[in-house]
Amino acid sequence: MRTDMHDEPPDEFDPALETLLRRVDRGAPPAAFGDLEARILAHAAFPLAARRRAARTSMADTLAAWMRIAVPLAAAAAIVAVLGLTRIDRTTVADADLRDSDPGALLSALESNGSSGLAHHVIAGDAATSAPAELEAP
Amino acid sequence: MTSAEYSTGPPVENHHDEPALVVRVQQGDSDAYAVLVRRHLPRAYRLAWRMLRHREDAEDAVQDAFLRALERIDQCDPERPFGPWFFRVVATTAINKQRSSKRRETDELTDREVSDVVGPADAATLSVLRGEVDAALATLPPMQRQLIEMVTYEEFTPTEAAQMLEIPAGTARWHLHEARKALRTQLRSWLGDGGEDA
Repeated sequence: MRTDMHDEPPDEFDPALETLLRRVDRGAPPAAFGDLEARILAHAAFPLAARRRAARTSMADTLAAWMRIAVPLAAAAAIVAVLGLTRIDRTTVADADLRDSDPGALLSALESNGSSGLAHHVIAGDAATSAPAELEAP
Repeated sequence: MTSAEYSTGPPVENHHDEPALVVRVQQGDSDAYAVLVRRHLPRAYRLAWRMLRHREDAEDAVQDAFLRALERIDQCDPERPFGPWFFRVVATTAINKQRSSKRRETDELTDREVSDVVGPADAATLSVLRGEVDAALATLPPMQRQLIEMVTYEEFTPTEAAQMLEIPAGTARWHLHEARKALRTQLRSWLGDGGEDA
């Protein structure tokens, strides 16, 4: 019998039986749906309000969490950007000053100017290559 | 609102606005909740009554079911129909109520009330037929009787009824098959040629 339960029988819908069963069906007695609805809605008012509060709180929390992450990140990004621009600016100025100048003197000037390592490297390279040429010059 | 504004006809399915309504209820929108209550209240009441056979118990069960559904609305997937999910809540609530409450007198219509509706001659026939149908239904195991009532009277599909009773669909179909077979045997005198006019 247990095995039969899992053998799906064909749907033996029997119109005559269905008609007979429905014919004697009394159905549910009438209910005061208006009163019942009012009762349900009255009882649901508090849980619904709690849901609204939770939804608002959740949105505010999400916003606050984003702000907690986004504001410091934005500040840090701004600081890095300002520092970077300052450095680039200084290097550019220093590199511009170095052009057609005595590399040795400019190197010592850069030491005090705080220019970029790249500028140091380039000037030091220039100094190394230009020194023998100067010696050969009449 | 009067009871005349509530649907008493066959179930209306495929409400295309229900996914949005469920999402709104999840956020606490009372208007959306009221729409769902108004829409599903009559059928929920009929289902609860089928299971409890008592008007006040059925009303209480429906009220509890709507509140339980609200508590668990986050578990309702808005992409799936609200009705089947909600009627499972109604059925579970009614089953729990059935287990916890003492047996009470049911709200069946009396034969006198029936004769007021259909006339004395038909009422007499109906009374005999009803007695036999009630006796036949009473011999069915509770699961089979509930399935017959859900599928035959409330027009749920066997699969929907199976979900509400938390049994596999194949098992529900097997129970329905057995129940119909038993009813046909017991009511054969009414089902033969001209039997229905007896």
